[in-house]
Amino acid sequence: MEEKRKRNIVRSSRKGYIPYYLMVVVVMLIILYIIRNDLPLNRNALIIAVAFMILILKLTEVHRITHYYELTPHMLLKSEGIFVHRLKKMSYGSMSQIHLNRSILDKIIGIGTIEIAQFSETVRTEIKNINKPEKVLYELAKRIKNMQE
Amino acid sequence: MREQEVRQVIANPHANRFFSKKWIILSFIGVVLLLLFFAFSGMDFITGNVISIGEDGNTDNISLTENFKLYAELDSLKEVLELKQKIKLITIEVSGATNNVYLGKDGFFDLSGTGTTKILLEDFDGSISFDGDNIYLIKGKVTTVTINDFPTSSTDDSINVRIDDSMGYDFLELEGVYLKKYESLSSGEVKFDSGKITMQLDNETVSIHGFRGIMTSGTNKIGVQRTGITLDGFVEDANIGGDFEISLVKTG
Repeated sequence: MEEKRKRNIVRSSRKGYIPYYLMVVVVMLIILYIIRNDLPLNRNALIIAVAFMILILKLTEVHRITHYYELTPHMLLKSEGIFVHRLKKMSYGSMSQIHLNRSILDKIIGIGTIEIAQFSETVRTEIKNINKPEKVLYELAKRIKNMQE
Repeated sequence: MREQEVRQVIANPHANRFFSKKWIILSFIGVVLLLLFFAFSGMDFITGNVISIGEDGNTDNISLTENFKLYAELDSLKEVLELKQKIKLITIEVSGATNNVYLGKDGFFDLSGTGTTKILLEDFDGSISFDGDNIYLIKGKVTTVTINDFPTSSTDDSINVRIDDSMGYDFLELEGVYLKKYESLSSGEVKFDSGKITMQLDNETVSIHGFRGIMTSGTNKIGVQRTGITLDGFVEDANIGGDFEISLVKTG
């Protein structure tokens, strides 16, 4: 009987979407300012603004749910999309280098981006804006080392 | 050097173009500019009428003696006006309507087959939305409903009345209505202080603040035949623009 394997899935942190959340906050503040100062608030513009805010909040969540990385015993799977689903498989043995990139802001909010280079490709695959990136980096490095030994 | 070359081609062939940062940032800038443009340019009237009501919808505390007397005949309402407040008397004249007027919990009056119908709602307290042609919602409490001269009242202080399907009307009058702000690009006539100042408008801007009085829309069967809205009451201040601009603000 096959033992049920616990899936090791890595998703982008919501902290990585802070710039988009800030856009929503800015739009809300402008609307509040207009209302409080009794300035004309165009109904169509208000509808567009509310639709924009809802769309941003929905899109960020949908984007986060549909874009994930899974660390399987033998390869890293990159999955994205709902209607057009794309799955990229990267064997740990094919990975040549992994990098962790963190800006000052990333360090403050505790996220980071891991870049993965493969022997067979000149482009790099990014695992963007993830929480505890060092832990994922260490785990990836361990699996690469095990696979290449 | 080799490392540098690799770094220069960081590109994701699987990039999600739908969730492109560029489009989101452009949309954000567009929304912000749109809101600020209409807030500060004063161009809001281009899209039609802008009407707002008092925050509490209560008109009782408006002091008439401090306001201008105004009578205006303007173009019909282009956008839906939604009011939630107390209105002393609502008069509706419809012909050929097939709607039901719901009264209380279970009762209703079927307007189909009645020909021309006149509905009076006294001491209305609730919501009404309409434009120049249709009433979209009436929902509230009244003390008396009169349909074609047959009054209906309740042993309670009030009776619930509701019309929730779109209903075309010939004439609508709201007596004792309060509009916090009315802005439109309109043609017609505006008279201040019982006709001491009269202005003929030809597609010009009208901005009225703090109107309280009688508002009519549509064509009354009695009197002068005119399609459009009339405002007969008092305003706190008004601004009429066009080739020249006049602003009236009461002082003292």
